[in-house]
Amino acid sequence: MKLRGNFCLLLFCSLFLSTFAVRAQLGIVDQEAKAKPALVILGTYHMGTPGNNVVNPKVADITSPERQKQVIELVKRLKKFKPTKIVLECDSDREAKTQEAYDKYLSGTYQLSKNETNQIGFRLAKELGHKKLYCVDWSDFWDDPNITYGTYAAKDAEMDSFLKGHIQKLKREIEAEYAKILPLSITDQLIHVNQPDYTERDNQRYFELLRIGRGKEYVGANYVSWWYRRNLTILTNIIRLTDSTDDRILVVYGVGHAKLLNEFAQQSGFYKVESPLKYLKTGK
Amino acid sequence: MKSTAKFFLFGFCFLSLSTFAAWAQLGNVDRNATTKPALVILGTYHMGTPGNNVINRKVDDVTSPERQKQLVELVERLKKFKPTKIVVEIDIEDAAKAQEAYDKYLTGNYQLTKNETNQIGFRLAKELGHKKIYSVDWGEFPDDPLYNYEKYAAKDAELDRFLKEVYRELKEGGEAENEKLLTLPITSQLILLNQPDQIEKSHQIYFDLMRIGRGKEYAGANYLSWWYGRNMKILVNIIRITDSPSDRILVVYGAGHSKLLTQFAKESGFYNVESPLKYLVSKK
Repeated sequence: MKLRGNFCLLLFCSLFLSTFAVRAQLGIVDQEAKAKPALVILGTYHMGTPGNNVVNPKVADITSPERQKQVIELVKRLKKFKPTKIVLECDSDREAKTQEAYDKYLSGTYQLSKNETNQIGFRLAKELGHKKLYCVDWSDFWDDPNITYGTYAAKDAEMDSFLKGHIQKLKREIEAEYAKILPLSITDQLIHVNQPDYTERDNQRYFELLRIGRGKEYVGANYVSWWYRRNLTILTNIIRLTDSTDDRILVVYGVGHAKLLNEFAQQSGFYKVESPLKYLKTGK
Repeated sequence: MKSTAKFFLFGFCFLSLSTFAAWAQLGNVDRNATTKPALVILGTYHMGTPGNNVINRKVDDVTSPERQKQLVELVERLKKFKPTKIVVEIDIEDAAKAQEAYDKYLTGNYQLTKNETNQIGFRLAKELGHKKIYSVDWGEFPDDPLYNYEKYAAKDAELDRFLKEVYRELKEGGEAENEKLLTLPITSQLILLNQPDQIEKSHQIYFDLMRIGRGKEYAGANYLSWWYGRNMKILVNIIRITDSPSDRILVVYGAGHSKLLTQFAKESGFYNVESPLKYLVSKK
């Protein structure tokens, strides 16, 4: 009897372990569940030295005393969501390095960088007593002539003038938008860029690129598909780290991702997706 | 003076020609226009002998007198949209072949196949006096094992179990639903298939597949990206054939595409997207 009891216990343990192993990659998410993990996607602009985007607007120095006060105020508001996990736009391959920096920050031997991963993410995670930070970014891009729409358009006068016109317009629009939000406090800036019509418009611009290509060459569509793939892979990484229905996950990401990450998370049925505006707009 | 006028006239013609040439691939769409081409995506089941889908539903014979009467009735309703172009789910590579069949059909030398491309598309286009039928499908699948989530899961006990469970539920749900559909007239079937919550639910399934993968291997996310990419290329092909803001385009496609085609078309801002329900539920 005793032996049998042990055996059962052992079996139970092994089953339990294997379930846990499944969760580690599949995540515990469930479309049919009544209680779902909460998810907030907070779109931000890049507070450090932005240089990855087609248009790189000027931003104010985040380390000035005034901006620092504003970041602290922002963090206070975000705490109201009571996040259990903070997810950042850092490469998932470099998570260990980010974690190392965060560990140093916890022990007071690290100076925050100007990047929002540090300014918002590290700061908020420390305030909440989190031991761990999550990096979920994926952006493998390869120099494939089927995807590099700029190179493709450059060889085709009509496509080239179409693309140049589009980028010029984009630049004008984005620079005007940033000029408008520059004088605002950080919280107000984020309230502005997380409005559904803002993120909608931002995403709409990709559909112009979709049009680049001829005949069997769908260079623009391949590029936009890659952009969708990037965001689907980011959501997959978020699913993988979700390990409890009580999870409350705050994702701090470039605002260009806000539309698709929200859309995918909502359509997946895996999360209770809340708007960041709810927390940005609350009083202290 | 006269010579200047001629010069200008010539310049105008040349410009207008080059704009037209650009439209042929870039499409005549403008997200800032006040008048946009109208677009209806009608999701259907595959009326012929379907064999390409994960779950292939049983269908009855669409050539029976009763079903034929129902099709005529359906076509009457769709005419209310006053389509200027009918777009069907035929590989764009086979566009010439489909056109040849349609030409024969117009002259009475062609027997419609059981496929909805013929039963709905050809029939409606002829009724409307259209000379041309538009094939826009694209479905090349990458020869990359990291896109094949089924093969990937088959090599991994846990993922395999997970996928089989997803398929089992899918099949059960699909069969029950199908029994119900079979008893209804064709228009009523399409009304059900085109309900927003139905469309949403069938799209949600993809997000479970997305979870298949481990570490840097995102087999499910890659597959899902391919599916998104496929629908984007279909939309690109629709954009390319759009040559007037007064176009009214009816797209007859497998209902599985409804969610993404409608979503992309709306998000692009290029079309005035209408629900097919508006026409399906209208009186004759």
